[in-house]
Parts: sequence; C-alpha cells; structure tokens
Amino acid sequence: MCSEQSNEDFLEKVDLPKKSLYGSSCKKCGAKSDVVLKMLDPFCKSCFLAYCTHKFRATLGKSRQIKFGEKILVGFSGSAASVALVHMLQEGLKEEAHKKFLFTPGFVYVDEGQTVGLTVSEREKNCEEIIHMMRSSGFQCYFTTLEMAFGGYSEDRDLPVLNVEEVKSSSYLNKGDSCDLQKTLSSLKSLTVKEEFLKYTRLQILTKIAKQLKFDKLFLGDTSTRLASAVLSGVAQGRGAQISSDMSFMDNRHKLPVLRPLRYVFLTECFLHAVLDSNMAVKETSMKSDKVEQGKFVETTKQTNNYEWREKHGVSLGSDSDDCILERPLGERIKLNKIHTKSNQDVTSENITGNICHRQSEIEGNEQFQADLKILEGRLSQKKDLLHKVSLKALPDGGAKIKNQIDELEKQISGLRLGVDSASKNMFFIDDTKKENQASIQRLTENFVVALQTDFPATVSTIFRTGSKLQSAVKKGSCEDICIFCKSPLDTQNPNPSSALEALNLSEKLSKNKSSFSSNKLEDDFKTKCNVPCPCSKKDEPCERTNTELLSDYLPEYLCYGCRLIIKDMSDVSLLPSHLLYEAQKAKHRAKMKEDIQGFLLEGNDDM
Amino acid sequence: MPVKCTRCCVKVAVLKRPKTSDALCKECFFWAFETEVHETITRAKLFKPGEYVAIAASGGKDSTVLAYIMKLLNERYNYGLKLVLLSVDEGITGYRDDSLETVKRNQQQYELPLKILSYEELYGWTMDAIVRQIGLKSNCTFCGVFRRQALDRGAVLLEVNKIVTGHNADDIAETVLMNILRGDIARLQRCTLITTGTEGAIPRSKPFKYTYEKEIVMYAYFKKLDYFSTECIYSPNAYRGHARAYLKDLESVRPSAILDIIHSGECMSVKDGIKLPTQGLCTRCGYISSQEVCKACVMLEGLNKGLPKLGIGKSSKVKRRVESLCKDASKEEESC
Repeated sequence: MCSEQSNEDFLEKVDLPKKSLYGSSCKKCGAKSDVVLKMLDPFCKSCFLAYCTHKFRATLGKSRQIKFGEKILVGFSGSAASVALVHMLQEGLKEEAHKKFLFTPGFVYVDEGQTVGLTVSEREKNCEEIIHMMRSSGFQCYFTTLEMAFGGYSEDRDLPVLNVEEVKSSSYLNKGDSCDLQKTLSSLKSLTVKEEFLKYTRLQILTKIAKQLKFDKLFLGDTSTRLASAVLSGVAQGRGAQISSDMSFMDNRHKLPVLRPLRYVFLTECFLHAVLDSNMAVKETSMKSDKVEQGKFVETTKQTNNYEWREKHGVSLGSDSDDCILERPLGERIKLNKIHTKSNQDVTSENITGNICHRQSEIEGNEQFQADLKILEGRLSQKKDLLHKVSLKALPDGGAKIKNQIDELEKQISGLRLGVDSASKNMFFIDDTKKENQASIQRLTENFVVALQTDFPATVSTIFRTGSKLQSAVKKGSCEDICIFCKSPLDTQNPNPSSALEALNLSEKLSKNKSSFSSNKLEDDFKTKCNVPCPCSKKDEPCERTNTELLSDYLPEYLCYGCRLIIKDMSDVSLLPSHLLYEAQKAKHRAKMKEDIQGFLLEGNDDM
Repeated sequence: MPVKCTRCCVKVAVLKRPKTSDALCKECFFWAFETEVHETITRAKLFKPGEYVAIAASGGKDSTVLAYIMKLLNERYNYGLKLVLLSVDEGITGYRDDSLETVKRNQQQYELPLKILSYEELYGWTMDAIVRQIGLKSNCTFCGVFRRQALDRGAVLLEVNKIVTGHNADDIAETVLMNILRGDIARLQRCTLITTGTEGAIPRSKPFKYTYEKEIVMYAYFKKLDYFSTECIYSPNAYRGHARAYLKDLESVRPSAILDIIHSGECMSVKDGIKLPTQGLCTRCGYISSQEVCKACVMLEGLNKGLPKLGIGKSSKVKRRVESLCKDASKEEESC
C-alpha cells in the first residue's frame, strides 16, 4: 500500500515538464491538430498547408515584382524547400485556384554529385530519382551537371543544358571536362572556401542558364532559417556589406533578378509541408566534411551532421533497455539516400540510451510511422504499469532507471509527434563531434543557429529581421567597381586608413621580412615591367610562371573582401575558372585605359 | 630545428601571431604590437597634443596592457598627453577589492595618478548589496549600466578630455554578433566605431580595436606585466556566453574571422527609413539616454523603493511601470 501511494506521487511529479500540445485543437479551425509549430501553435493539416501557402503567396504578392506572363526558372535541388516550392507552385497554377498564378515556372536541376565524391553509379541513381520527380511535376524541366556547366562556362557560349524529356541514358554524367572543377576545388584549401566558392559558382551557373533559356527571373528556395544562418556566416566572412542583397526578396546583382519567395517560411515548415503534402521524395546530397585524400576532395552525404537531415527525420529513436533500436524518419514518403557513411555505422555501434542512431532506411508510407508510435506507446504503458506494480525502493537504484526510461520514451513520443523542435536539441549535442562541427564556418554557423533556436525560439526571426534592416555602407561607385566573382559592389576600394582592412594589411606587413618590406618600390618596378607583355604570350615558358605570381598580385584588386578570403586560401590562383581570370584581365586593362585618359574625364560621368 | 623569426630572420621565433600566423621573436613581436597600436591611434586621430586622458583601469589584462602601452607610446612618439588611471569600485568583495590592489600597484609601477570611484559613493549601493536584493540573475545588467555612467562621472570629476578603454578586437566582434542576435540595430551601428559619444558626453575610444585578445595576453606574458585574472564572482552573462563560444569556434576555423567580423560591421549601416531610438538626455540626472529617464535612474529608483526588478525588461514596459509608480506617489501626497 505504502509503495503504491508513493508511486502515484512520483508519477505526478514525473509529469512531462513541457506538456505536449500534440492532439490539442487546431489554432485556426478547432479540429484535431497534426503539427505543432515552435512548440506553441497547433495546426491541423489543412490549416497548416494554408498557412504556409499564404506566407509564400503574400511574399510574391506584396513584392509586385512578377508581371503577367513572365517565365520563371526555379532552382530545384530535391531539398525539402524546393519540394515545398514545387507543391506551392502546382497548387497556385491549378485551374480552380483562387487567384491563379499568372506566370509560367520551369525547373532546373544542377547535379553536384561530383563535388561530394559520389561514384558514377550513385550519381546515376540520384539523378534518375530527381529526373523522375521532375517529370512527374508536369513542368518544363532542365538538367545539367555542375562539372559540365563549369567546364563549358564562358561569357558568349551557351552552357550545356538538357531538357529532362531528352535525357535518356546516363551518358550525360561523363560529358564535360570534369577535371577543371576537381582541380579548382582541390586547390581550395579549406572547406569554408570550398563551400563559398561553390555557392557563387552555382548562382552564376543558374543565372546563366536562366538567361540562356530566356527566362525572366530565377526563384531560389532559401528559407528564413537558411537566410538567418547566411547572415551570421556572411558577417563572419567579412561580407557585411552584402548582407542586405544576400537576403532581400529580390537580388539584382546578377544577370537577371534572383527572387527568394520562401524567405518567410521556416525550414521546419518546409519539411512538414513536404511531408504532409507530398507525393514527391525529398532528396539531398552535399558536402559532408573535409576528408582530403591525396589532394582529392572526398566527401559523403551531409546526412549525419547536417541539421536539415535531422530535421527531415523529425526524430530518430535511440535504444532503450531492450537494446532494440528503432530509427524512423518522421516522413511519410521521404526517401533517403542509401549511401552508408562510415560515421553512420560508428554512431550505431556506440549506441547508448538517448543516443541518436542514423541508419539509412526507406520508409514506405505512413503506416510505418504509426507503427513506431504504437510500439513506443506500448512500451511506455508497460513501463508505467511496472511502476505501479513494483515498489520503487525494492529496485537497486530506487527506480531511477525506470524513471529515466519513462522520461525518454515520453520525450521520444512527443518528439515524434511534434516533429522537429523538441528533438533537434538532443540531436545537436549528441552526434556532432567537435571536428565535424568546426569543419567550416558555414556549418559551424548553421549548428550554432539551430542550437540557439531550441533554447531561444525567436533566434531565427530576430537574426532575419536584423539582417533585413541593414544595408551596405559602401558608396556606390562606377559599374566597374564590382567584385568579378560575387558581383557585389567592392568594399575594398579606397579604404579608410583606420579600418579593419587596413589594420589587417598593416599586421601582415609588420610581421613579414624587413627587407622585402623596405624594397617595396623595387617590387613595384618589377611588376610594371613584367606586366605589359605577359597576358598575350603564352608560349613563353618563364613568363607564364611569373604570370601566375602576378595574378595573385593583381587579382585581389577586383575582388571584394569576402572573395579575397577565398583567394587567400587557394594554393594556385591560376586554377580559377578561366572566365574569371579573363574578367580580371579585362578589368585591369580597363583600369589602365582609364588611367591613361584620366586627365580628360569629366567628374560625375562614371557610369558606362 | 627552431623556427627563425619571419621579420628579422636572425633570432629564434618564440611565438606564432594569432592574427597572421607568422612566427616572430620576442623583440619583433613587441615592435609589431606597439607599432600597430600606435598606427591605430594616429590613423584614427584619437588624441590631440596637450589633452588630458583617463585610462579606464580594472586591473585586468586589457586595461593593464593599455595603461602600460599608453605611457610607453606617449613618451616614445611624443603624443603630449597627460594620463590618469580611472577605476570604478563596484563593491564586489573577493573580486574588485583584489583587482583594485593590482591597479594600485600599476599606479606605482607606471607612475600614473589614480582615481577610484565607488558605486557606494555614486549610487549608495554596492554590487554586493544589489545582489542581495536581486539575486544572481540580472545583476550584470545593473553593474553594466552603473559602470558606464560611473566612468563618465569620474571623467567629469577629473575634468579629462577623453577616456580610453581596453576593449579589444574580440570584444568588438563579439558585440557585433550579440547585437545581430538580439536585433539591436542601433547598437550594431555604434559598436564598431572607434570613438563613441562625441556629442555632449566625453569621447571614449578603443585603441585596442584591432588588437587580438590573445596577443594582449602574449604581450603581458612576455613583458611580465602584473595583472589580475579572476572572473567576476557573480555569474557571467549567459547569453553573451553563446556569442563568445561561437566567436572562439570561428577563430579556430579561420584566425582572421575576428577582423573579418569587424570589417563586416564597418561596412553595413541601417537602411534609410528605419526608426532608431533618438538619444537625448535623462530628465533626472542629465546623462545621455534614449529614454526620458535613463536606465540607471530607473534602476536606482527600483532599488530604493524596494522593487529591484523595475529596471529589467523592455524599456516600454519599464516606462509604464515608472509612470504608474509616479501616479501612486502623487496620490499619496494628495491624500496626505
């Protein structure tokens, strides 16, 4: 009797610290809720979908940037955000849709399998799935690979792009000069600059394709979660001046306007949207960590250490005392890549209570998810029954173990129901080794933002709002004062003598060899002497070598602060894409021309 | 084989500069460190000859190195400045009383005059007494608000022209991140300025704006400077801790990240048309404030009326509470 009494007391105390809102009524219509956003707002499926669609449509509508009959290219990556985007567009283009969209979307997929080191067969499989998805979307869809586009990139030639309908065999994967991309990537020494380089290259290729296929605008699937971490990682990489264009709805720095219609939608919402409204799979591959083997950039899927993957999974379940491991994604039809990574297996083998296992599994339908939930609930009631029956004091550890197990189970169940929010924290701390966390600035920042978001749910929206109130403090100069790589206005010209840029230059000068410092003038003379004949004469062997050296001397002049950091981390600058080097030369040439005619130019007539 | 110094190429290098990763010998490091601070001072035109400058001294590493180097550079480059150490005694037993001993030793070592102001003199409350009232949760808010004013009041008492503080590059980068995370755009814009408070208030500047914290520690270590290195016994600001940890991680991924962040801060401004709080003067004490009544006055009022939580929270809510408090007081007077 006594023990039972105490059990009841104990159970009351054990009551979940945060009451799960799952099952409570929808905020809007009062029906039973299916999802809970930010642990606060319960929504039923249809209200949730309407809520997301509203945010998307309102973003487009308020901007008034899209005109009747325009053609818009959508960058499709297979990620949850791009899948959600497809759905929202499909929805809005239906005949019966209220206020039907009056523009025509098309989709493009740029396969980056090579940069993450997938084998040809793995890439083929990925591409097939993506192409299948695209075909079933019913839109006009295009396909290319990054190395193909990269190798064939030139200002006046078209990029190789295939219409998805034309893609028949897998031979496209062998097309194009894949060496160029590999070489360039392997000369970039850190993962941070690799990611940064790919980010701008990707954008360049997408805009070029859009222009070439005669689209008017480009849509990207950037969510507010991603944009918030982009703000921070941009600041951390000296791109403060570019933040406002990096996250604005319309970005005019490129060949054609780049729009971000998902900028008010959270990543979590995209996943839930994709899950709840999906007939399509979510697919994503990307760089994992910097495993450089013999100078080759080897990488795996980003699943284990990327929060998107974790969010996508909702929650994966750890083992309990029965040593039974369950890992099920939240998804109904989320198909995952079947690529095993080494660290996946490591985590599984070291599985302990509360640990999160990542094993690849393909889930067919909702039933599996429901079954998991049932198993867990069954186990929970078993444990609770046990508590009622047994005196706690009789147990060796005073019932602490069972208590923990109950806590754990309840957490897992509510996590499974809630989707992501409750689980991401757990996951963040468990499987991120320090090294993975610090692999690159971008990854470090993403992890930081996601971890902070669990403790302070306003984090993402605060960063996002801060970012959207900022603008560049750089004065707009002539059109030639634009970074040749990222196309942002240069923040490196005529720096204030008292600025971080100059302070860094000074520090570098002061800690270098005295003699080279004093003979600065000599060096300059040497430069100008060698400069003139170099660009043209390629056959001249010794001259070409100095050309490479010279390149690293004058190239930074035409780059913004952030892009200079990329070059700084590069072992051989001449491995940059040739069109970039060409542009640098052109810019240099023009600068020289301007110098020659300087005396005759009238002020204020800078734009040409 | 020992590494040779990359600058003089003669002596054996003893350290790797955190900022540039160059290996330097002791002498070359001293020279580079001092020259950089000197360049920061001259390029930003921080001082004019003949000015009377107060060095905010806490006894910690930054302010100790600052006092040392200000004296050194003033003599070496003939700035023509008159220097004084200015310390604030928050009244934290076991922390500030010990660090003030260090400041007093510095006073003798560097032969600089020293002025100590205490919270007790200025406000009638020591931090120990405040913590007894408020607990360990928001105590840092009080200390920060009071210290900012205390330095200014001390500077007015001493009739100095300028104040220099030991804020280093890490501190500034951290503040940039903090202000982004908190959404405080007004401060985000101000925090990368090398000199603040040019209107009305006594200008404050940060000669260590571009100096890495690690290099300050290295300088103090190799110069064998005497400083106090204990954390405050009251809990540190938890949220700032996140920003700090993130910055340290960034620095380990890319050492230049700290300066990159400051560069970012210098290159952004607030969009036109976005409202910023206008800075005016407090109607009670006349100190610079973005509200009608400054934070310090509100906090002090709360402490004296037995409502210590009054000054903590959103300023709009605080304002309402202060107003209702005033009404109550006037009613009481009427009823008497």
